Amino acid sequence: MKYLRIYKILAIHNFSTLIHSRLDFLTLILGKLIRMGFMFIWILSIFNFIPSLVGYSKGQTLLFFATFNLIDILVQVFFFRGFWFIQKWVKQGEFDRILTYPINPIFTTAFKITDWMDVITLVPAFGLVFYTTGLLEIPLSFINIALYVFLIVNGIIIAFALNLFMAATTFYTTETRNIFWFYRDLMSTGRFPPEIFSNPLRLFFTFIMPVAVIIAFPARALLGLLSLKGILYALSLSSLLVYLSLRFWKNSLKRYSSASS
Amino acid sequence: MKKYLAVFKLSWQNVLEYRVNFVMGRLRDLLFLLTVYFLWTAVFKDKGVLFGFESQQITTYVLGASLISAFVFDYAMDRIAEDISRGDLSVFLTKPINFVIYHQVRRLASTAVSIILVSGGLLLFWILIRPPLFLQKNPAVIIFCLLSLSLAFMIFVAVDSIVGVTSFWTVYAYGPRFFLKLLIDFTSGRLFPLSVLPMVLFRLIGFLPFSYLAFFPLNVYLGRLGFKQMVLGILIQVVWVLMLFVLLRLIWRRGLRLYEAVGV
Repeated sequence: MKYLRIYKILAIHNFSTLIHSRLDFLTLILGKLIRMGFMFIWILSIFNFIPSLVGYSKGQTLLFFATFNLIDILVQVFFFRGFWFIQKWVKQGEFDRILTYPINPIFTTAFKITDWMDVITLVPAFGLVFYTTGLLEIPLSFINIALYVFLIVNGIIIAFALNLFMAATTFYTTETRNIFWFYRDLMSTGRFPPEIFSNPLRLFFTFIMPVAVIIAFPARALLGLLSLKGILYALSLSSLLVYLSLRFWKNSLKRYSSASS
Repeated sequence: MKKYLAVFKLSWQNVLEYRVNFVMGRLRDLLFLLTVYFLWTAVFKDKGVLFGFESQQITTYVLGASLISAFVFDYAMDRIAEDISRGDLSVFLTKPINFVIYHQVRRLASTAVSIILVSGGLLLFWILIRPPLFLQKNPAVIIFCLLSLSLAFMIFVAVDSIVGVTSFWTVYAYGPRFFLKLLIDFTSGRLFPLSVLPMVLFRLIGFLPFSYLAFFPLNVYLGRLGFKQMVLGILIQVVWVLMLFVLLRLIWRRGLRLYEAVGV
């Protein structure tokens, strides 16, 4: 309950900071909508020329894109910004203050910044998911929908663990900006079905940098194409990554030395 | 000229100093290149011609877009906006150096390093994958392509500077910068050939200067345009260059009138 109250205060504070410049706020949202809109039109346009892409129909291909948007935006709304700003907080000594709060520093780091612009873009992201599911040729069963939601949550947990790993590397070097950007770019490959890539890359996206598990697995589950083995693998992976990332954070934190000391 | 040469040299050293960040940035470009290449390969599988492109042409387009991105799409607006918002512009106003040119020359240094790295990346990509490529052999077309590329570069410099300068009105011009970057990404033809888009949208995009940054030069290189279309395209580029530089001058003057700095 205490953490929820803190989250609410932080979120309200973020909102008032964000609307300080209305021109910025408006153009940032417009930019995000342009990105989503153009990517959508691009994929849709491709299907004016071909009936299917690596065996997936228009609706199925768009489902990967819609799922990517949904997960990516949820991650951004809740914790990506906070983890991203840890570089700045460590450099400027702000992280010292975070450590003195009677709150878990992982919570403060992750949830200090709520991205309100992405809260707004969540509306078209959900709309896109509903639109694409309407294009699917197969009826959706309750189990598949439940699995879809469950694996999206599982994907967000994996993304949280990966973000925690990246944030913890800041205690070794503060030049982690490009690691975060590289992670974002890797996530962006999930806009398309992983089958477009060659085998080595597909394996890389499933086992090493699990973009496929985060994005493609939920989409495949909704389409009824994910095996039980796949579901179990996704679950085991999220548990393992959460455990390892927490350990890594804890060990790395010991190396932290205040910027002002 | 000498002073800008010194700025270039210093910026070149600065880029090399932060080489890890720089190389990581280029790695990101390579990742994007791989994604787009595999996507188009999947789209063109067992297809001859799609939206006017042959498979070989689309691969050349993707690699060419990558090279053009390194040459044209290198933003100086972030530094311009920061200097104006933080008040560092005051220092420039007391020196015999043009603020916008200074930042564009700085940007040239990172562009030069980018071109070298991206060329290396493309060579590596070609060695690993050996995609079929289209080689333009007509010298006249190559000259037109180089001309259109130079003009694309100038259009970009003007737009880039204009948006940076808007930070006279908005702190750091953060929103306008983000918006413009995305708008340019999607309407320049840098990510995909614009001809894949629905005709209405394709025509609308034609009213903006951005399709002349990548889509037009690449179409010239691929020999997809006749002589008249190439000349007309070049003329449109020239008009855009002139209009945008006039606009930059106007905005700069207006902004300077608004500019206030403390602690100088």
